[in-house]
Parts: sequence; C-alpha cells; structure tokens
Amino acid sequence: MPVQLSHKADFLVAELPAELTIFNVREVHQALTPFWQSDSLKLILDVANLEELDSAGVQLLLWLLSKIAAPAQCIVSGSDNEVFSRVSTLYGLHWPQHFEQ
Amino acid sequence: MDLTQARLLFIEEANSLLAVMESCLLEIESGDAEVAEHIDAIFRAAHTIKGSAGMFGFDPVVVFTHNVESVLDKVRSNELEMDAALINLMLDCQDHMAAMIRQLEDETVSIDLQQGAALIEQLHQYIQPQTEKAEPVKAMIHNSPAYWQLDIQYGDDVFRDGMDPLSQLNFLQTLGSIENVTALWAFPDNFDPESCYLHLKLDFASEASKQQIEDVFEFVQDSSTVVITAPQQIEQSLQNIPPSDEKLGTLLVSVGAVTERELQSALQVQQQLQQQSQKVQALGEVLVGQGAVSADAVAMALDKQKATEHKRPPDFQFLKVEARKLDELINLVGELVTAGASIDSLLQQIEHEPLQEAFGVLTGLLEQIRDGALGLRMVQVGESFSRLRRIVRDVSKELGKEIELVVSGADTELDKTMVEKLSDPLMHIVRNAVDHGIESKEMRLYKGKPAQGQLKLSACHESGSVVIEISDDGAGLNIERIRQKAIEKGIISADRELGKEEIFKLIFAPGFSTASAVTNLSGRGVGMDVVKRNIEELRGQIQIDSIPDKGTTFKIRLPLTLAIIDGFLVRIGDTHLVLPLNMVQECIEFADLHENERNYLDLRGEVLPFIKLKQLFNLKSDAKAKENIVVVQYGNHKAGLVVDQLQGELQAVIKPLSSMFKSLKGIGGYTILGSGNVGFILDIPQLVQFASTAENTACHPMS
Amino acid sequence: MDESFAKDPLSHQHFLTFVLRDECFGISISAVKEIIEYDNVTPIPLMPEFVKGVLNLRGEVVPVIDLSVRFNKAPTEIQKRTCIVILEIPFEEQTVTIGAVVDSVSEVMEINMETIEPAPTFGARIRAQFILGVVNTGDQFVILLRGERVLSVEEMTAVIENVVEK
Repeated sequence: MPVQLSHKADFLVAELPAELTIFNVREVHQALTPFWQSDSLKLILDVANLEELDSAGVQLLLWLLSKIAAPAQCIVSGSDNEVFSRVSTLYGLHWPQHFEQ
Repeated sequence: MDLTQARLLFIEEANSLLAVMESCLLEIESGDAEVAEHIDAIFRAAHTIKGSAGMFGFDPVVVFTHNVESVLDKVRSNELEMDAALINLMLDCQDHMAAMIRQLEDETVSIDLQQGAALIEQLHQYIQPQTEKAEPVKAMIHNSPAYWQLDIQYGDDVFRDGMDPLSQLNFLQTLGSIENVTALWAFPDNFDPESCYLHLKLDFASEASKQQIEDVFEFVQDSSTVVITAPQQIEQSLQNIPPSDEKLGTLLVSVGAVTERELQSALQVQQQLQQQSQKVQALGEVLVGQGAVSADAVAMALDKQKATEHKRPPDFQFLKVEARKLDELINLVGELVTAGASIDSLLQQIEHEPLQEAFGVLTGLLEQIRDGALGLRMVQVGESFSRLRRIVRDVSKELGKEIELVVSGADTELDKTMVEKLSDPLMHIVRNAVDHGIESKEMRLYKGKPAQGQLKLSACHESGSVVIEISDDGAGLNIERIRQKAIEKGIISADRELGKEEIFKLIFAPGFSTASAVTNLSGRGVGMDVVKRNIEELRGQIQIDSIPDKGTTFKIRLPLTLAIIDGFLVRIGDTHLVLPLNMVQECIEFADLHENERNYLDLRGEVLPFIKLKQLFNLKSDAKAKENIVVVQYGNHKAGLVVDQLQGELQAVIKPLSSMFKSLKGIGGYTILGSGNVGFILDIPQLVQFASTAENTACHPMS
Repeated sequence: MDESFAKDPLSHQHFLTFVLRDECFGISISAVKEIIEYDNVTPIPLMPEFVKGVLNLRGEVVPVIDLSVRFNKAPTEIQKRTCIVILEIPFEEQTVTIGAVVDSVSEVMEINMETIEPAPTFGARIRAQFILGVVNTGDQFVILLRGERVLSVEEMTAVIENVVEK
C-alpha cells in the first residue's frame, strides 16, 4: 500500500510513505483519487515519514490541495519533517497547518 | 588563423596588458597618478585578459583573473579604496598572472600554486565583507533591480525525462541566494501526476554571469521556457563600456545581458519571421519579445553603437602589424631612397630646371615617406622604464632601502628593436645601482645624506642620438677597490698605471664583480660585460662617471634608428665614406702647411685633434688633391677627419657589414650610393677610439 | 625514354669551368648564382689582399674575393675578360653570397662523377683541402674545387680579423 489511510473523527488521514517521487506518484495518485471526489472531505496529510521527496511529489501534494474544494478542509501534519520543510522552503511553499475556523 | 598563432597573439596581448597594469599600479603607488586616472585601464586589462583566456580555455587564468577583476571592480565603483596594501596585493597578483602566462608559453615554467591560492584568499577578503554589508539592503528592497529574475515554465515531460526542478534550485543556491520563490501551477482536469505543470518565478542574488545561470537549466532548456532577466546593474554596465562597433547582439552578450543561446534563438526567430512575413524585425525587438533583455538595455546598447560613429576610443586607434611586414616596407623605402639618389645624380648632369624642380618635390615627399616609415617602428622608451620602476620597488623593498625613482623623458622615442634589446642592460644597471650603488639607510644618515636615496632615469635626444642616463646618489665607484679586484682576477697586472676612466671601464670586463657580499639580486659577476656588449651591438656606447659619495652615472648613447641615416658624403681617392650628418659640425680647408707630424690644429683657439683617414685606412689618393677637414662632434668629443673631397648631404640606407668584416673598426655599415657604388658608413666614436689606440700602439710599441 | 631517367643524377653533375692563371678549374653549378663582368668593385680599407672589395649586386652588397690570392698566387690583373662568379656559400645555417674573381669563364660541363680522380697530394700548388678532385676532359685537366672550403666564411673571417687587429 503506497498510502496508509485511516479515519480520525471526520478526517481522512493520509499517511504518506517514506518516498514520494516520480517513481510512485502515479500509485499514490490512484490511491487517493476515490476520496477527493467527495465534497465533504476533510483531509490530513501526514508527511512525517517522508525521507525522499522530489518535484513530482511536491506537485502531487499541490494538486491534492487544489482538489480539496475548500482549502480550509485540508491540513498538513508533520511538516517539521526535515526533508519536507527543506523542499517547501526551496519552493517557497506555505502549507495550511491549522483548520481555519 | 592557426591556433598556435592565435595563442601567441593572446600571450603577447596578455603580456602587454600586464605591463599596462603594472605601470599604472606603480604610478598610483608612487603618487604620480590618481587612482581614478588609472583604475579603468587596470580593470580593463584584467577584464580583457580574463575574456581572452576564456576563449582559449585557459581556465586557471580565468579563475584567478576573475577574482582580481572583482576586487578591481569594487575599487572602480568606489566601494573599496586602493590603499598601499591593496596595491601591493594587486602587484603580487599581476606577478602571478604573468607567471601563468609565461607557463602557457613555456611549459617548463612552474607556478607556485600555493601562492596563487593564498592570493585568491586575500582577494576574497576584499570581496566578502562587501557582500555581507550589502545583504541586508538587498533583503529590504523587495524585487530590487539588483536581482536576477528567473522565470521557468517547465515543460510537460520534465519529470519523465528524469529532471528535477528541485535539484536545479539546489544548484542555484551554490551560485547565490534564492529569494522570493513563487511556484505557480495550472493543473488540467486530466491531471497526470507524472507530467510537470510547474512554473517557477524567483529572484536570485548572485555574482554569477547570465551564462552560468543559464547553464543550470541546460538540460531542461529544450522542453521548457527559461527567461532570465539580468539585474539592472548588469544592463547598466552597458553604460560603462566604451562605445563599440560590435554588433548589437555581441555587445549585449559581452556585458552579460544576453547569453549566446538567447542570441542564437533570437536570430533564428528573426530569420523565421522574415521568411514568413517578409517583414524584418529588429534583433533588439526580438530579444525583448523573448524576455531575454529589457527594452532599456537594448536602447542603451544601440546608443553605444551609434556613439562609435562619432568617437572611437583610444583602444581602437592602434593596429597590430606583423613586424616582418613593417621591415619589408622599410626595406622598400630604403630602396626607394637609393633609387631617388641615383636619379638625382643623373639629373645633376643635365640642365633641365623644370625636371629638377619636379624631382625636388618628389624628393620632399620621399623624405616624408621615409620618416613616416621609420616612425612606424618608433616606440617610447617609457615602456622599458616602467619595468625598471618595478625592479627598483622590489629590490629596494627587499633590501630595506628607501629609494625614490625620478623618471624624465619617458616619451623619448626609439626604434622598437632597440627598446627591446635595451631592456636587459638597463635592468642590470638599475639593479646594480639599487643593490651596490645606493647605501643603506644608516650609512646614508651617517654620511649626512638624506635617508632616502635617489635614482634618476632620463632619456633625451641629443644631436640625433638618444641618450639614456641612469644616475644614483650613492657611494660612487671605489677606484681602489676596483683596481684591487681587477688585479686579483688577473684582468690587469699589478704594476699597471691606469686613469680614472680606464679603471671605471674595468667593471665591464668579463668576470668582474665588486660586491663583497654576493646577494641574490646582483653581484654574480655576470652582467656588466654583457651590458656593454648589448649596447655596442646597437651601435651605441656606454660611459661611466662617478664621484665618491656623490654617486654614479651611466650614460648610454644610442643611434635613433638602425635603418636609414642622414649622411654627409666624402671621398678619399675612390673610396666613398658617409658620416652621420648630425655629428658633422663644420668643414674647413686643410692647409697642411706644417710638415711636422703633429695631429692637431688650432680651431679658433681650441685644440682640435684630427685623423688622417687616408693613413688610418691605408687608402690611395691623388697626391695633388686639396684636402679638407670635417669637424665632427659626439657628446663632448670633437675631432677632425681629413678627407679629399666633400660631396654633400645624402640619405643613406644602412646595410650591415658582412659578418666577414665585423673586425673592421670605425666602419659601421655599407650604403649604396646614387652612382651605384658602395659607400662606407663611418662609426665616428668607434673610429676615434680606433685611431687613438692605433696612435698609442705606435707611440708605445711595448705596452 | 625520358632523358632524366636515362642518367643517374648522382653519377653526372654540371660544373662551371673557368680559367685562372692559365689553369682550368671547375666548380659545381649548384653553388653558382650568376656570372657578371668585373666592374664597380669598391675596395674596403685595411683588408688583406684576397679581399678585392664589395660589389653592389642589385641592392645587395656582396664581398668580392680574389681566388688567385686565395691560392697563394699573384693578384688577378683586371682585363677585359675578367669576370666575377657570384656564389652562394653555406655559413651557419644560412647562405652567404660571395663573388669570386676569375680570369675568364669557359663553359658548363657535364662530368661523370666516376671519372673524377682524387686530388694529387702535391703538384697542384693549391691546398689539397680545397680540391674535390681532378678530371681529364681529353685535352686538359680540370681541377674541381670545393666552393664551401675555398670560400669558407669562417676561415676568411679569421684571416681578416688577424690582419685588421695587427
């Protein structure tokens, strides 16, 4: 399983694997596709396990975010992960870390 | 052009630029010039060397010079002050660059790599603090024009091709600092996670060139659109470059506003547009359209191009010409002068005034052509002087002496070959003067002289010769010590009585050296004899004058040129002799009334020794002919030459004596006369010396 | 058959023959540049007798040597048929142009190198090292000279130096 999916309250928690690169983006994309279509999806992206992340991976995350109808319904957790934060800085990306009330 | 030749040209160019750099630095150091006067020339020298070295792929030269250039640039923009320490560093760098260039020429030359690294380290200290100081300013001004602006629209296949924009960002960070990254994306409905939809915009603060930045994106260049906008600063550097007649594209590339690739693609677009619509779009417009460069920069570059139509900067006023071509031209002019003389002598035989007048005009023009042609080979002595300045500086520093160098007449012109051949002898004399001539500071103070020694270098024209003097205010030559040394070395016998001048001449003897302590600067006992020989090869003489505790003066007298002289033709029997006209003072009838043997006469109360050339050269002449005396003068010497007939002025093309006759004294060369006969050109100083030696030998056959 | 194939170029060489003091000499034409009449030779002061002087050869100043004196004979008397053979002599990796005075020039002969006999050790009254060999042409003997030795620049320079320094 490329992505560990679990439910916490009304959230879907997607625990990303250690690697999110061009070699597995397609799999991860397919794994998540069924969920984004539901309007009420509240998503927690857990990036804490990431050890390898390339631009294709970043793009996939961006895409996920763009697919959540209301941006407020998605947060990224574990963003203090070293790899993740370094890549984010390079790209100048800011991820939603809290739900907007 | 063949590569070795191009390489030679590069080396030659680099060497002359290094010389410019050195002399400018030295002038600033000695206070003869302001920094502002010379900094542009110094910078341009470094910049040009870097550029040309880059073309040949001499990377170590490029890297090193780049650092030098960066520091110079800061001086130029008044961010750094050119103080004594920096001048010193720059001179060391100049030395290092010279060594690197020498190595290109001769692979056996080794370069002190550690020294190179140490110099770069020192240069960095000048570069670094500045950038740190500048940083906060940059951070404050958002989107400052000092930033490169990069706009990369990645192509679909970038990921699939194995490229990762992240690694490009990583690499960019090694060249500078990335600021304000904005990632944009536009995902289609049928999003494919393996396609790339990214679009990056970022500001980039870096010293790197546009080319370097573009190279980072080399592998995505084909599939993506990369637009790099130069900071205003770079585009503004267009303002600082001299007007040029380069093409617009080349000009923009040269300042780094546009890369070669951008230029090529713009040229392609321009061509396509022309084919499609028959409409010509200006290259500048295409470049702006592609986002490669701002419209302002194009306008500025166009201005520079226009400016050249009015004003060509001094750099372009020089033309490099192969020395061989020049020699051929001067040879031909020589033949022309000879041919002219032969027509002239024919015209004398016919009475045709209009023809003679017309020919007179031609002769005038011929003389101008001759002078012009000879002038092509003339350069200023200053070129050798500036090298001496460096030696004085380095040697005096090493010895802990304070020496002021006073130069005058550096603009005196001399034949280029002579200037080249003069450089070694001058260097030797100057070294000796600094090393042995001028005393240590303590000794000077003890003697009641100013602590700072003085070395004077001067050049001037004196009656058709060039006189170069090197004089110091040092201890002077020690007559007794020279004598002792010469006896020790077996150069003279112990019981030999010698005059002051003769003793001075001993220092030109092979294997002579007076330095009691042999330093690594001079005093190896080679040199002064070579100095004398070199100068004699140039048909020159060297004299020494020295007064104890007042100093020593070396006086070098050289002919102006090696090719053609204005001469005065005389005849003895069938032999034609040419005297250098500038040495001829007057001509008087020789009434050999006194049948006595004495060889001097009373010239208006002055004693004038004379030489009977007929006897000296053992020539046959008509016994009845009335004789004349030509009074010649060179320097302080005056002498009379007894000849049969005076034949007037002429222009003589000097042809060197065949090597077979080189032992012949007093004759410096041949010339072909208008009549087709061969005339001999007299070397007056040598002739007088020859005559006096001959007389001495005759008077003292035993010595 | 083409003539050039017929003969081995090494076995046959061309020699210019000339007369000096009633004797016939030959010199390889490869060294001969041209032959001119004796005229306008300017004597050089203080030179030993074998140096006749210098000559203006179309702008080039060429030393002229009296071969007769070089061979220890009386100086050549200048007559109507006196000629100067202009030769190119190798010296220090270059060639030096030198003129040699001869009484008259005879002809160019083709000589089979195999017919050349070694120089007589004496009798020719010329230094043996000057002579390449002797050839009998039927009616007379021709002494073939080694141009580079007869007109050795090095040796002549030394002789001149000796005379001038005296």
